[in-house]
Amino acid sequence: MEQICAALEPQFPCRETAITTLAQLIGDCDEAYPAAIYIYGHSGTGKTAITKAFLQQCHKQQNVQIAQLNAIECYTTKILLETVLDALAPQQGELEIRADNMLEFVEQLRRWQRTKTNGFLIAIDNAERLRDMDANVLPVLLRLQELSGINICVILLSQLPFEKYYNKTGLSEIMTVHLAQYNKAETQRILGSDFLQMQQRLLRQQQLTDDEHRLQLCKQALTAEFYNNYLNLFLSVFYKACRDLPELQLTARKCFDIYVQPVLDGSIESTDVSRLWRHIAGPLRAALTQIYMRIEKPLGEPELVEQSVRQLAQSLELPYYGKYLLIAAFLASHNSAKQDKRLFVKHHGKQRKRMQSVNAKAKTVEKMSTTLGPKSFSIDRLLAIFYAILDEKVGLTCNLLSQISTLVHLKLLCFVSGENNIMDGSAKLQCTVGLEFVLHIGKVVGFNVRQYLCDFM
Amino acid sequence: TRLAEGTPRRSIQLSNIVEQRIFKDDDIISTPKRARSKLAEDVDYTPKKSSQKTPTRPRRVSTAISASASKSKEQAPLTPSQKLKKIRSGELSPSMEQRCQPVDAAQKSQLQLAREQLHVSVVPKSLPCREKEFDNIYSFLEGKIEDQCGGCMYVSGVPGTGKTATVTGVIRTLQRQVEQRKLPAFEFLEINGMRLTEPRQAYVQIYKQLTGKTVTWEHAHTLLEKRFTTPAPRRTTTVLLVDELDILCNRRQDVVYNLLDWPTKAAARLVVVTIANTMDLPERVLMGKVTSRLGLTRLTFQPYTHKQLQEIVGARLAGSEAFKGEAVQLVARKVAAVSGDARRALDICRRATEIADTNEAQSSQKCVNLLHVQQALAEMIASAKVQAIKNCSRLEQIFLQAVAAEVTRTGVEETTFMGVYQQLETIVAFMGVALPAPGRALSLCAKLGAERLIISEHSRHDLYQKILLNVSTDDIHYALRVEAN
Repeated sequence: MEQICAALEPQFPCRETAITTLAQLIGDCDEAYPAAIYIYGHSGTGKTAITKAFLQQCHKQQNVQIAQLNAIECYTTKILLETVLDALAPQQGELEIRADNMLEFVEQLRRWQRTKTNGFLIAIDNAERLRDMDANVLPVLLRLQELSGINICVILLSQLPFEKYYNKTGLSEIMTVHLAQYNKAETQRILGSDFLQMQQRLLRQQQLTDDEHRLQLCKQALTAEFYNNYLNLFLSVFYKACRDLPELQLTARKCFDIYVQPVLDGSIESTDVSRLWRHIAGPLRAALTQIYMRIEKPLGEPELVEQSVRQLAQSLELPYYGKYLLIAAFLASHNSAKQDKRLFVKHHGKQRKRMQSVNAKAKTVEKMSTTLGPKSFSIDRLLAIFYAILDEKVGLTCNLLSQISTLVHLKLLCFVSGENNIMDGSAKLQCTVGLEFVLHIGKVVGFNVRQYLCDFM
Repeated sequence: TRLAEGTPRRSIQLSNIVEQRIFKDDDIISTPKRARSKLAEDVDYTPKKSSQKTPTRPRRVSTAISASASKSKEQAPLTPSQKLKKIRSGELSPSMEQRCQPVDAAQKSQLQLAREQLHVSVVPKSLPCREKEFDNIYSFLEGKIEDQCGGCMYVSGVPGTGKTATVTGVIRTLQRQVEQRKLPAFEFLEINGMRLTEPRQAYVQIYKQLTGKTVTWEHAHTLLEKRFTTPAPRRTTTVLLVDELDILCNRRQDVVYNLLDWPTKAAARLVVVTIANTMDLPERVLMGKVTSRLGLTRLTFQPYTHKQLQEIVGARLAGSEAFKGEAVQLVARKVAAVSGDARRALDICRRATEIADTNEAQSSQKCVNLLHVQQALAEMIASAKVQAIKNCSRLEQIFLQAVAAEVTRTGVEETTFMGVYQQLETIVAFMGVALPAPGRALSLCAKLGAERLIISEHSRHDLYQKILLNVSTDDIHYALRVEAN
């Protein structure tokens, strides 16, 4: 037990308590294991990694068979059971292992009572999927020790608390271990633990360039304190938005190259923190908008969301009528059908203004239909609006109708109901693109969309 | 196996051909699973061919083969496939393991004897209080057998009113009559809908009782069809008892139709007695053509009254002093008020003897009195819900109170967990107990749901899961108030 702890603790800093708890529960295979352990915590807290390393240490140091699997991969119970049996079998390759159902699985385990293996450990990742499998999977796994009569422990890993697992027929007891998210100091410590690797990498880069002066500067400037300062700046921007350790690690490495550049050039002293901050603040904020989007792109060029939408809208190569159809669909989704006559019929007569309608018009942003989400419309209404907003008169050809189905295929429109009876007119569509996107498309074809939206009148 | 090569294959009965073709060579001696799957495949297409075969001659041939084959291999242990073949042809009868020595019957106490007498499986020779129904069925069956014609009868009644026991009693009496040559001989077949995995397995069971062979249902169906539709000299009457008729009714109702259609054929001489629980089953479930074939000969078994139950138990105990008179009366009255089920009365009596056995110290004067019966009744009739609520943990009791309070507040029976939790907060604050976190309350809820004190959904819907109270609110108040005092 102490050996396992000693082997794991340098590998996983700031997780001493969790490792000790695990070691107390399943550290010694000569003692009885608990029937089941439930480890939960957010993504990026090291559930899978710690469990994996722990089980491998157990396997290496003690006479324990281990099985690790992911419940997502096991889309039938049979796959789950056979994977577990394959991994756990004490004598490898003795027979073809088969388990069609839970009964055969448990029978197979019972047969191992007389083998010399002292313990069996099963770790199941993404355990929330077990709730969706056959109704007997989770209850049996939680009582596997009792049913099989061997020293076995089932470890379930998930991001949910165990309260989400109770079914209608009750579950047996389980030990829960919580892995809390790292706080700022711990995050900084973990991020700072790869300082040596970073140093090696930078030095090797400088050696390749054959610039003696830069190499000298690099050796001089690259200290642990310097790196910690950088991480402090980095976390002051990022920690509010993201505490996911792998994500932070990835971005921190990317931004460090930009941070260290002026120091290597000799333009900024390595101790001048405020100037370094002014230099790095822009790229860091730019990187913050790209977090969780694994785009391999050089940093530094600030990219605003609006521009990307414009690019997307301009790069979308729809035919002319297709664009008009998309605009018509957007108008149909975001205007109420009551307003259609006033908006699109040429001679609709005079509208009398009433106090009531004026009051109703005075909308707040929350009430605007463009922010409330699209409403559904029929294909007839789509075509009517299309013909109303298009100046020229085109025939209703099959090309035009096929463009509607193409828009559906491209997921710019979607069906909400009546997918099977499109032709009899009861099918309802929805427009899935946003206002920005449609405004850009309108600009491309020279059509003012705002003019036809009730919200902007 | 060499023997089979020379015999004319065509005329051998098909089920045997199938088996011999599979098992003829040594290379087939393999895992039983493989052989079985092959068998299933082959059997599937057999009924198509079977219409060309004559049914009588080949049976003789096949028996000759199997007899000689079994003689030659008498000593050798059977492979699993050979065993399976013998089981399917009915040559091996299923037996059970025997005890080393039987229990000595001499040293049984009076209570033990009474308990044996009271066992539900000990059916008396003549059922008390069912004489009229016995006469009714007896005259119907006797008439049909003597007239050598076919017919149907429908017997209904709630469970435990002696339907099956009366019908089998009638059959036994008739068989005794046949032995005394007072009645033409008849064959008796019996199927139970509950013992079949599927309605069509009824054909297999009927055919098995006629010949002892197990074949697929398609094959059995064609063979039975042939038996009942083609006239044959010296055909005897067949009485078919169909228990649990409502299980045999599927959507197409083809099995029920066939079972009731064969009696209408002149050649069949089939008398079908059907038993079910509901009185209006033919009108409610069965199709028009099936109902019309079922006919109007019907008999309804009324539930036993308390006097009849008393008589039944009295007849079981005849001569024994183990029971007090008023004890039997109490059982009879309590059971007759609920269901009139004789099995229930007998079970309660048996439980009472067990209680008397354990409670009374001296073995000399062991007798079941009123107190024992009352205890047995409390065990078997009284609800355990109040006890369950009393034995809940403190928080579970508070949770139940919260559910009841939420039901009274909203007036709707179905509550959500959120509302219940708000009530829980109030009650907990009132009582000065620490409030459990919602996750803890969810586990309480799941535990109560598993015990069926409440009905709840899967806890993945956490705050929005719907909760129904499965006990009455009065039960909760009663259980908790009495405990508090």
